[in-house]
Amino acid sequence: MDFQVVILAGGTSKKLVPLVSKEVPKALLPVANRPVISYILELLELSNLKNLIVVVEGEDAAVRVGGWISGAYVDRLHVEVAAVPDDVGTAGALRAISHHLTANDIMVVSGDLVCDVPPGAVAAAHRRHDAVVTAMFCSAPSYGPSDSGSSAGKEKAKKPGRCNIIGLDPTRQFLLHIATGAEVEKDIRVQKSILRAVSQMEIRGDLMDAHFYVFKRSALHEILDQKEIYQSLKQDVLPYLVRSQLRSEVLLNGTPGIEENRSEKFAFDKQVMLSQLLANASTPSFHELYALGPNVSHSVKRRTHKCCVYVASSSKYCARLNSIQAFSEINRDVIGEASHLSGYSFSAHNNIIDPSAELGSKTTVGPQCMLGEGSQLGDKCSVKRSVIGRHCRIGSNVKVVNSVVMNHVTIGDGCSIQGSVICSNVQLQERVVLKDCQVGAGFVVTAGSEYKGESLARKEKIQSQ
Amino acid sequence: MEPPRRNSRMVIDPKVRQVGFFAPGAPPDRSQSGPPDSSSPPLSDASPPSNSLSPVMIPPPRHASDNILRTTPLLAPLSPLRRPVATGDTIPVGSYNPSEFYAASSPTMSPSSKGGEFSENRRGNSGKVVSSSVPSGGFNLAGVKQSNAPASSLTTVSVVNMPPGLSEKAGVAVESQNERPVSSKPLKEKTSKAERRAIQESQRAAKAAARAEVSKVSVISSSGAVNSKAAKVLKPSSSSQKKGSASVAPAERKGGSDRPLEKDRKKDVPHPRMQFDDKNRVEKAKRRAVVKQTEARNRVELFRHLPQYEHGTQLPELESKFFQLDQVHPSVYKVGLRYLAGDISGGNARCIAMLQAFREAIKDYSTPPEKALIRDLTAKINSYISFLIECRPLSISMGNAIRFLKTRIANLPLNLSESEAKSTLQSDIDRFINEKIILADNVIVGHAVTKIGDGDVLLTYGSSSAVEMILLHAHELGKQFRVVIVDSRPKLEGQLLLRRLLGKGLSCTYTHINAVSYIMHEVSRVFLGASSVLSNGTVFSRVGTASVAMVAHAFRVPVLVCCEAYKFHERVQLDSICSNELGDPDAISKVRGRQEISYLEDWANSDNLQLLNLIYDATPSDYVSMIITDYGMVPPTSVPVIVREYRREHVWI
Repeated sequence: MDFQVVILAGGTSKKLVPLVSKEVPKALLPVANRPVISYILELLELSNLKNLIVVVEGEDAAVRVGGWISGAYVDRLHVEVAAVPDDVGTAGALRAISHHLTANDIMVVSGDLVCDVPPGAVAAAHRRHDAVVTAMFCSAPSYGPSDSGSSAGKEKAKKPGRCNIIGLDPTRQFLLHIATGAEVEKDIRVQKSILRAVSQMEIRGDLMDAHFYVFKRSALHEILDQKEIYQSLKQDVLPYLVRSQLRSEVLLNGTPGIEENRSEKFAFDKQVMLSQLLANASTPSFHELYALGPNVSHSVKRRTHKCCVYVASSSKYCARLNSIQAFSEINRDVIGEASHLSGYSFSAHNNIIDPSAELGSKTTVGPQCMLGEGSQLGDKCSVKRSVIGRHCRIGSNVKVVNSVVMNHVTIGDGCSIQGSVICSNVQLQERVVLKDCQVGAGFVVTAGSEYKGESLARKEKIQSQ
Repeated sequence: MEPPRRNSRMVIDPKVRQVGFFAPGAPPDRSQSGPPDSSSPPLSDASPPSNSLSPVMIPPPRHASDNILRTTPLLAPLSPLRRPVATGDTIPVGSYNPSEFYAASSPTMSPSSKGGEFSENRRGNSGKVVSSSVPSGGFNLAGVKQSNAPASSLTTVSVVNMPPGLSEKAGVAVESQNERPVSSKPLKEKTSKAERRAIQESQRAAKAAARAEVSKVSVISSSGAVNSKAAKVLKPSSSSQKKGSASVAPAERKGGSDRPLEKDRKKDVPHPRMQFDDKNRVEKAKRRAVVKQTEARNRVELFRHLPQYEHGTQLPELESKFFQLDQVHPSVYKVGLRYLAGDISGGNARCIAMLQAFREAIKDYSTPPEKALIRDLTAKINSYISFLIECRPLSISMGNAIRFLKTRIANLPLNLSESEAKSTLQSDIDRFINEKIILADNVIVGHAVTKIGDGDVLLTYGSSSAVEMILLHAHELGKQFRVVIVDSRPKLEGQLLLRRLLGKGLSCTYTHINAVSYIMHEVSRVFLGASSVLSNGTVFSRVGTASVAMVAHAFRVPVLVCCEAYKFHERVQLDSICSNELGDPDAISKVRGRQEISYLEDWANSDNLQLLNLIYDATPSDYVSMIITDYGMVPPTSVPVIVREYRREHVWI
């Protein structure tokens, strides 16, 4: 179908700091005991898209991500992994690999997307309207990626996907206005020309940009070449395209000009007649009407391009793993309400317990829980709405509620863990109480300590103390 | 001859039941369009135009070039080259017999899935080459996947696949000599002799039945008997086919998941004019369909044989399958999507869009190894067409264009290289668009403008591309006239026409069809577009055209129908029931943009309410004063002459 897929897998995001580390880049964060990138890879594989380019920030991260993908998808997908330097932004990343993009349309997907919206639907909307860009929007998660972790606080202003303000046309097919990031707080400025052309605009604040775009390659190349300062697709490129849609500076298909020169008048007349015939027969969008102008006798056609949206229906699941809270929410959802995404089959109790896991007596594992292989639970434990990774050793009388416990974690007797994320190789000694905490990889929490809403990580913090 | 026909038409037109009553005494010319159909394909090749009598005997003036054009076609059927060609029997079929689009869907299709697997293998390797050759341009490709490790698994897949593929090909090669490709199935080899015979016989019967069903429209008297027989015969044949396929299926399942699906697809190709009240066939078609469609529940009694789907269920389904439909070319897919979404409408535009998509597809086409371009390309085009039909039923003009294209493919000289063949086909398509549509429109405009004088009030209905060009051209010539645009819900296409005309400075009146009887007083001429003109002079066009024409007739206002000759068809149709299209019923029950008019909101699902949104209607020739076509201005009675004399030209351009 002449599409190329680029997955922007990111690197070691600062927003997820205690969770990600050199060893675990963002793309490999476990969601229900599977790296988050596997969700998007599987979604694409399901849609028969098997040639993918994965762009990772940082060499080390690229090696790790590439290594994992090659292990897991060895004969299923054809994936090329490209490493780009840190902090080039999404647009920079695309710029770096732009000479690899050859297909007519480029699908750019964020590697932290967990969703079940068929990519084909977005691509089809793009093709149908011959759009320059098509973006997918989904209903924003109800919790809102608000600042929960203390580390996320300072990133608040820059945090994407917090809240977008989006203007749609009455048919909800075209994007008329978009304000992202810091712009959200400012006043909404709508161009008069757009408003006049469409005559009606629907302003929505409840939609989230899923970071799933389809670009026309020629346009994308042009923008990336011309606008060197553009760093982010979401904050620079997309708003630019939306802004300029009625006075397009993007050369869409450079053919008409050339044809005009070389072919003689008769053939040209025919061409015009043909295109007019086709144009007249199709239902015009406001772009075409505007291009014609109020008075058809104007021979100068205004140049326009189309920015489409695909608004996923609310029944579809769609979330981005771009904050710590989102991480725990997604983990919860994937084994809970969006369980079809996890790819596991649930037991009668609506949970997944690996057969090799060992449970002590009087230990209960509630619904919407997951227990990885080789994990051991002592007596009288209770696990509710939590994911526990592989080879964890949990003592007796431990309570785990609403939490994510990664692999090889040791938890002593009498601990109580609530709403927390505990990374791999962490050791919790006896009677530790954690509430809304993040514990970085390899950390040791001493016996009897209590933490609330803190982020605990090994190296830097300990050294600084 | 004229008066009696007129009388009879007056009576039969509105009701179907009376059609049957009139049938025994039908004039001979009507029943004659049947036999050529059912005769053996090669025979009907060149003869039907010459031996089927039509009511009008005046031969029209012929261009000098005609004779040149004619010599080739007359010779061609004699050449033995035609027989082995899979599409050989599709060319001649006289009536708008949709099976012709399918008859040639040769079994060559299924190996394409095999090709897919190979190409994937290849892709893997090539990808490696690409990435290794990449210089370090600011970044490097760290890992390249798809190592050679999986190669072993891939080869096993292809080993499983190969034998059936080869045997299939052999079967085709042998059987296509004397049989229709539809019946040549590889599964035959595995059945016993008796079974084979049984299957063959039942298939033959089914074929006959299918053909009879097609010609039912014209062969009215015998249709009942044939039909009941057909239904009986059809059942065993289908069940036996199913049995056969079931026995083979397990062996093939190993090959790949989409293989059986594709087999299924080519095995029982759908009948484009399938009778949708026939449960068996609908079930079969559903299994095969690319687009999953939910059928509307409440369908109007008389129109149950037409496809009608729950609107809004098709588009998301098709969209989500975007990347699964590998065998459909992107440009064809796009056109299909736009048909389905209603972005393109209008006979000319739809036809041009389809042809251009096919042109793109041909441009990107390459013959797989060990295949003949002629057959493989025909199969490809067939699969595209069946996809397009699922999106929206074909119009007659598109049918004609498809027939043209397929004939061109079938008649490619065998010694042409692939690139030559492709460029020939592309230029053929261009020529068809230019000569049959663009040039034809120019000629029509030239003719029609002579009928417009100063002070005229011209009425048009809906939005017809030809009429629009006429009006604009007349305006450019400086004629002083006024235009009345009559429009109707739900599409309100007239508004777009109105907008364009006003932009050019014409003075217009806009009204809805409810007021047509009032406005007709002022009108001096009515110009109408058409989707098709049938050989009894019936004009098949946007619904509402018939009433406008009737009112005009009653007011003795001349009705001029503008229609390119490529839209003519030799089918005879007396009503708008047997062949039509149903639109979205919601479109008429809801008024867009006005929420307060929602009286039918919860009634739409009531069992007692049946919504009918017809797309086309048939205007009897009595209401049509003149048809303006690229061959000049002719009375409706002369349509069969044009069809007869120039049809060959349509095919041979």
